[in-house]
Amino acid sequence: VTEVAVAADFVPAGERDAAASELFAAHYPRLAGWCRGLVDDDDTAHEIAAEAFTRLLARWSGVEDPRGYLYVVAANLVRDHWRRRQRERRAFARVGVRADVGVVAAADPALRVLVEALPDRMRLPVLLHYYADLPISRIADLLGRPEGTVKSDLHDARARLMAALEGQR
Amino acid sequence: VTVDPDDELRRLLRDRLAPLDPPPGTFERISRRARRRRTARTTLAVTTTGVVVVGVAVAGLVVGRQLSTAPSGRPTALHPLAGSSGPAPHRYLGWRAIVRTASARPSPTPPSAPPTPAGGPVPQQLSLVNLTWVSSGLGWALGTTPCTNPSCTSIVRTSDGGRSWVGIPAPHARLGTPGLPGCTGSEPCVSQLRFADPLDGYAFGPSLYSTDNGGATWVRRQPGGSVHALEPGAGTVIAVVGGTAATCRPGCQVLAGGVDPTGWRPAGLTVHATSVQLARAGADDAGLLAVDPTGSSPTVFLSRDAGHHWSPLADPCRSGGRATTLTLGTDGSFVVLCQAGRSRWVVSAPPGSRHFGTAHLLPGLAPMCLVSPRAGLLVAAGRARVLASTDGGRRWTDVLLPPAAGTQQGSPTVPFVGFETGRVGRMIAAGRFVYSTSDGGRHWYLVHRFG
Repeated sequence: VTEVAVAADFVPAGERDAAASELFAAHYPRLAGWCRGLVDDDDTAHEIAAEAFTRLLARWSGVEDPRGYLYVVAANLVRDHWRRRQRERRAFARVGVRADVGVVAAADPALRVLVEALPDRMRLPVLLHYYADLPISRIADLLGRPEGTVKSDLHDARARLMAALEGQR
Repeated sequence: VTVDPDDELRRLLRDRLAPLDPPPGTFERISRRARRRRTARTTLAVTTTGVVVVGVAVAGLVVGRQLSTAPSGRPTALHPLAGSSGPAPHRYLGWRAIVRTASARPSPTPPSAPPTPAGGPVPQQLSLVNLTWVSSGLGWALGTTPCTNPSCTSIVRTSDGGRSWVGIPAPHARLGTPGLPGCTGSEPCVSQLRFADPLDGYAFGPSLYSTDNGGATWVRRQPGGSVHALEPGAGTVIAVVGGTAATCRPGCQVLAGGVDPTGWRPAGLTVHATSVQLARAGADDAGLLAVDPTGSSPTVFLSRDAGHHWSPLADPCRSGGRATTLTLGTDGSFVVLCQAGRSRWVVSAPPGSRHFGTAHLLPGLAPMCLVSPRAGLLVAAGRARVLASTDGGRRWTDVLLPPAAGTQQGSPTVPFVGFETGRVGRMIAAGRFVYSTSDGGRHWYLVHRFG
């Protein structure tokens, strides 16, 4: 962390700003839209996308794969958001109030709930492979897992999701 | 036609995602946040690196000393009294690892940086009266040497904890006792020395000289009167200025500010006293004792903001006694020595409290110096003995019989005792001997003998 942070400051400020601006224009709308498909409202989607970009720009030259980094960070933030929402739902349930009162439903809540319900090891590969369209080899690099493990997790996740979707039809 | 479940899932999940344009100003907000985090991370990285470098340097210093001093470099204690255990090498080496001083902010220069000025030989027959330290290794001593020129004031500096010393320039002022002949205020005269950091120092009482280059040059200052007390700490300085050369009559002002004397400003407290004592602990705590046998005004004042605001303290002595010495422990505790006739007793307040506990008599000792390194620990130096207490003054034990040989007539045998931390302290005895302790004053070891 120390080396990355220090190295980032040796990139000329002008060059860094221009590249950051270009990256933002190219990837923000799609990243925010990706987040919007996973969370309940536009504000939360923007908040997560902005935080992912902030973390990327804060350690700019230390990141080899900016796009992959953005999606991994955003996926982790989405997971944190889901956990927060679960805690809130449980708290509301204890006092007899529905948790989603006043919240705009996501684009495809049924599908999202299924993804949300996947075990941790399957959920992130699904988010990155199917939602963010990253190839398996890059996902394996980003998550630090063997490619075979990622393929296996995706296979298991796909089976679960398809079975659930079949059941809903 | 077979349906590829992978494609179907991909279509179901990905195709529903529509781009979401950023609200206006999003990129600028993100850039600002990222810049702040980069700065914070870089600061943390630099700080961490600095700490590691200093740690390695200190560890190297300790190991180096250990190798270079063992076994012949083992220090010796002069005149230890029966009952006090002899020095142990590991104890002696231990105090070098302490890098913090309570009376000054930590050194901004790394330990390996050579102090300025370079320094020359130590004057012959140097007699010391005062010590000041800004780290465990870097310290200065104020003294005088026999000479034909009336201004025989000398300053010596150590950068290895007192084992070796070099002479550096001193102010062109006489070294004397304020109020006595030769030091009445009509001629330049100093009696004490303090350094706030490796560069900024002060020779004062009653005149004031300051240096901002480690003592290479000294400049006479006119702060508005005689300087009776001055204590630096954590980049700030508190000074008591006014009155005559010897007393704070008709009155002295308390000044506070940074290390530059031109920036000292009145703190709104004026004291009337025959003498004043100033004590500091940490960055903000300070105590001021105004000794006035005839006055009825409060004699002890406390400040919690580096001397900018003061509040009087209820008389801690009661029973007809008057406060004669105030000392603050490095943990914020404070102790007052009271006197009534020939009786002397100490009262203590724990850290953070303004309420004094039970009074304890000081047996048969007229202390020249009383210091409390931390709550419960006391060291009292008299004309011929040094005592220590570990229970707030209930019981006292002789810890050192200081050598008296060479002490000038009328001069205290132990003119200086001070603590930089709750454990590490220094003492001057007979003007030539520098002692150190690393256990709060229970054991003292000779570090250097001048002449």
